[in-house]
Amino acid sequence: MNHKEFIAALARRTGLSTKNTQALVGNLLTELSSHFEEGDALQVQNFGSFEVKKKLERVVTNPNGGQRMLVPPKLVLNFKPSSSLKENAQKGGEL
Amino acid sequence: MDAKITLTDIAQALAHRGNIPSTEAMTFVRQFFDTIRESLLLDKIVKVKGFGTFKLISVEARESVSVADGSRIQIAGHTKVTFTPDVVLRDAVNKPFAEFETILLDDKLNLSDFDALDRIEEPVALETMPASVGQEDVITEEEPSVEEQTPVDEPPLEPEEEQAEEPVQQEEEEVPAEEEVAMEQEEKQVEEVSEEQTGEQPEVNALSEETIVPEETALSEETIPESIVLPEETIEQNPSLQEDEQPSKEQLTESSEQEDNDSKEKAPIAVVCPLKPRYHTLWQSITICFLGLLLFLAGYCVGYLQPFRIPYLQGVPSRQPEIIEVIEDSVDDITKQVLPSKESENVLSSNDASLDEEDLEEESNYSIEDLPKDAVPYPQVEDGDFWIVGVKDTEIMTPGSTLLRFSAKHYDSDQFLDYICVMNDIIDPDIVPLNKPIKIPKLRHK
Repeated sequence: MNHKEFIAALARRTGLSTKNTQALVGNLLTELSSHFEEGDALQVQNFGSFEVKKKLERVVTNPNGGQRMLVPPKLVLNFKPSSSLKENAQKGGEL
Repeated sequence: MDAKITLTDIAQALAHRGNIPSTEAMTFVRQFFDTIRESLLLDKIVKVKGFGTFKLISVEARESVSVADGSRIQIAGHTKVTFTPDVVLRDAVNKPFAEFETILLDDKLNLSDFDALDRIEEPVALETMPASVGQEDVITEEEPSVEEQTPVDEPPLEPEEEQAEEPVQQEEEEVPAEEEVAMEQEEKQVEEVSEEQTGEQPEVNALSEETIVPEETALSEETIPESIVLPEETIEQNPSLQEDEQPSKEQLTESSEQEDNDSKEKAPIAVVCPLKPRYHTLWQSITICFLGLLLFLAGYCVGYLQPFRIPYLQGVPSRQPEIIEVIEDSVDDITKQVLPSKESENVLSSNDASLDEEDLEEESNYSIEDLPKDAVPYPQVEDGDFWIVGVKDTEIMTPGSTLLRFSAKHYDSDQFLDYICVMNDIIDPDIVPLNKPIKIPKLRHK
C-alpha cells in the first residue's frame, strides 16, 4: 500500500476529505518529527513504540575489496512492534 | 528531551496546530495508527511519505545451537514487523551527527608502527641536528680550557652556570619522564644558551685567535636560530646536551688532573665536529641559491616570465613554431605587405635581432588581415591551423556527452576541442550547460 492508498483508506475511516486528511497527516508527521529530533520516544498502544537510538561508530569491511571503513556514529529511529501486533502478524493478517 | 510521549500528547499538539477539537485530533491519531496496522496486516507493506515504510517480512525456520547446553534447536519460522524511516525523517533525527562521514581506513597503517616511530624519533632528532652536537663539543672544550688559562674568570662565571643547570638536574632526577619537564626544560635551555653566549665572550678572548673564529661563528650561526626559531628541536636536544655537560661539571669538581686528561681527549673531537655542520649549511645555501637562479633563467628563456621581459619585446607571441616560421620568411616580403612606411624604415635600419622581434609582432597582424572572406563572421582560434568558415552541424548537450566526443565524432580526432569552444563561446570545456546547442564549426586548412 502506497501513500496515496493509505491516505484514501484513512480518509474513508475518519470520514474526512482526502485533502483534509493529507493536511492533518502532514501536521501529525511534523509534530512527530519534532519530537523524534529531540530524542523523545513514542509509545502507541496495540501498535508499538518508536525510539531514537544512538548507534556507535564502527569499522566495517568491504567483503569484495577488503577495504576497511570507519562508519560514524548516528541516531536512528527504531520501531519495536507491540506484542499484539507481532501476534497478529504471525497469524497472517487476522485481526 | 528524551521523554516518553503518548498519543495523547501528540493529539493535543495536533489539535493546537490544526485548530481542531482535541477529541477529534485524538480519534484521528488513533485512526492513523490503526490504518497503518490494518493495512500492514492486509498488504504486508505500508508506505507513508514523510514517516517511513512498515513491512512484514517472513523469516524461514532455521537451526541453531542452544547457548545454554550446546544442543541443536529449531527456531520456528515467523513473521517480522520492520520499520524503515523515510529519508526526510531519518536525516532529521540524525541531524546532530549529520556532519560525520564514512572514512576509508588505511590498512597499511598498523598501531605497531606508532610504537616504532616513537623509538626512532630520538636518534633521528640527533642525526638531523649535527649542529647541536657541534655546539655541545664546543662548550665542553671551552670549560676546561678556562680553568687552565684564565682562572680569574672562573668565580663569576661558574656559579651562574651551575645555578642555571643544577635545578634542571634536580628536576630530571625527580621526574624522569621527559615529556612532563619538556616545557620547563625548554625555558631553561633558552636561559642556558643566552647565559653561555654572554659568559663565553671573555673566555673566548683569552683563547688563541685560531680557535675563536670557527667556534664563535659556529655558535652564532647555530645556537641562535635553533634556540629561537626551532623551539621543538631544542627540547629534543636538551636532554642530550645536559647529559654531556653534567659529566664535565662533575669532573671539574673532582680533580684537576682528570680534567686535564679529559680536555686533551676531547679537544681533537671538538675541533673536527663544529666544522662539519658549518660547511654543510654553507653548501646547502649555495646550492639552493644556484638552483633558484637556474630556475629563474630557465623560466625566462622558455618565456613564462612575460612581465619581466624588456618592454619592446612585449606583445610578441612566445611560441617557438611561429618564430621559426618568421625567420624562414624573407624580411622583404613581410615588411612590404604589412608594415606602414615608418615601421618598415625602422625595421630596415635596425639590426637582424631586432628585425626578428619586429617580425614577430607583425605575424599576429598578418594572420588577422589574411582572414578569408567566408571566415570573417566567425570567431577564430589563435595559432590554429584551420579557419572556421561555417557551421557544419549542431549538437545538443545531453548528460554524458562531452565536447571531446563531439570533436571525435565530427573530425575523428579530439584535437579540435578548441575550435568547438571558440565557436560556442565556451570558456571552460568542463562546464557546459545542459541542453545547450553546440555548433560544430566547419574547418578549412589555412
